[in-house]
Amino acid sequence: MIQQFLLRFGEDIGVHTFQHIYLTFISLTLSACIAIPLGIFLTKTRHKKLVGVIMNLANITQTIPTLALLALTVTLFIVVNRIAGGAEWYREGGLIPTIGRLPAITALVLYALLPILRNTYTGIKQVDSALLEVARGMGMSQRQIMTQVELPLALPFMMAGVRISAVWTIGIATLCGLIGAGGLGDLILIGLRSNRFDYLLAGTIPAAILALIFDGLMSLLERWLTPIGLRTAGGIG
Amino acid sequence: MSLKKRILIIFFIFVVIDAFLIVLSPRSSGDAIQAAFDAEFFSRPDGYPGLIKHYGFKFRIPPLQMDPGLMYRALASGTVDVIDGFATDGRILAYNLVTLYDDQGFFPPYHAAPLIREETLNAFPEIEDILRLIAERIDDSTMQRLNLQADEKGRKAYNIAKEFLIEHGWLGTAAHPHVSEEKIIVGGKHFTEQEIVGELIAILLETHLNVSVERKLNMGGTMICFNALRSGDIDLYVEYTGTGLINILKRNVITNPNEVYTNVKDAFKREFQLVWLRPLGFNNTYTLTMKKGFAEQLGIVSISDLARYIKGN
Repeated sequence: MIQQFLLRFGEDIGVHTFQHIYLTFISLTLSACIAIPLGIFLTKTRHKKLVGVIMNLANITQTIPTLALLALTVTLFIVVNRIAGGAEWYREGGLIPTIGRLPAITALVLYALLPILRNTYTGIKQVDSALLEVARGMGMSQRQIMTQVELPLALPFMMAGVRISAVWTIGIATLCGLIGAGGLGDLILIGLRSNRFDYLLAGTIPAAILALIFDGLMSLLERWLTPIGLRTAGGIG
Repeated sequence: MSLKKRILIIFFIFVVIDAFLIVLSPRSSGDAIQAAFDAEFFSRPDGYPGLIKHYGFKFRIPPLQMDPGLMYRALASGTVDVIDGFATDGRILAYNLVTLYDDQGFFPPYHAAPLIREETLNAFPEIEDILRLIAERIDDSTMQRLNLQADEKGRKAYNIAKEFLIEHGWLGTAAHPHVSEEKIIVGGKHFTEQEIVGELIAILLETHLNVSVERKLNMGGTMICFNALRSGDIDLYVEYTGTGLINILKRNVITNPNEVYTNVKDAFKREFQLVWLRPLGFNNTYTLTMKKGFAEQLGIVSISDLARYIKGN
């Protein structure tokens, strides 16, 4: 039976899993590239208010239901097109595509920001002040303290953030099927719309396996990036 | 290995994988036709799989899947080139689109008609007479106009339906139900037209019968509504004859509308104890839809033309 299932859905699963990995991985990379530098910056900035504002913004983004965030992104893109091209923009084609990968990745990036940002920030903040004192006493410059004390100690936290984001993004990316971005959500939606259990399985099982694989790989990375002196049996996060 | 090196390696790996994904993913190239269909069309025998088999062609780049509400704008803005439209969708007019002629008769007729549980009809035999008011009275262009009001002007289905009934003097005068324990549940699939015809029926029953009417519109796809009807979770909803024939009964395509109707009427009564009431009038057939200008530029009028164009490229 499994063989039959794979024969019937193998190609579909392959194509959609690829699209799913595409959405997840690119969103995750972009998200990390934004959130990690931003998190580091926030621990160093003197404007404490700014920290509060940005953290709250990220928190708020997280509280918006995923489906709504996706819809909001599409609508936002439509508004941008309308501003750029007037009310009849859709007759000529807009400035940016309002369906497909671009709005999907935008929404996923926004959603994946918070865990990475929060973990980067707290990861650096939690470094024992005694250690910083020692480093300063040894005559290290601010830069050296940052790169040789704070970052190595915060790395496991950051990676834990990336790991959480990765697993979330895989789950959330299933919704991107609604806006033409592809992914395993397509198969799940077909199953839902037509009451087809086989399609539901063909979408759900690979998504679950994908989440497990990503989680495993990320925890390996997390361990690999933990300074040897800090490694414990369980790891951090 | 130093931590710094490890970080660089990981960053490098991420970037390389991203680059790979971007390079490997199919993109729409200049000439290739990009299609987009909704989820239901992908799995129905009278949808995508049947269509490409019947006309014998295959899209160069895999069709996208998206919510039916987004397809029209995606088409109009040029993001995609072909979609599976519905003949009664008002946006075909509004967005300057054109439907392709089904020259090889793949799509059966899809006349909308209320589908009701025999049990409910026996309990309220008046329903048949009440719904006769709108039987054969809503043609394609009327339905297009009603749909357009919801899709483009953002009006509520309830208001559109009520206004339409008042306009024709079909609104009943029954007072609102006082103590009636009985209620009729009207269902509907998840798209604009179903919401409007669902409201039409709900309002008609509400104002002509002394029972309360519950609405369960926006219930998802065909099989969800059909199963809910069979199990008694809803009492009636509007189904399309072709959908009943192909999707539910799994029969072969028949192109004569009356034959389709009598076929499904007989079979549904016998097999499921469900009754097809008289059709509302319009035929909401699936059609492949393209942008008018683009179709003219390529000289595409029928689905065969499209198939030929795709093969020729």
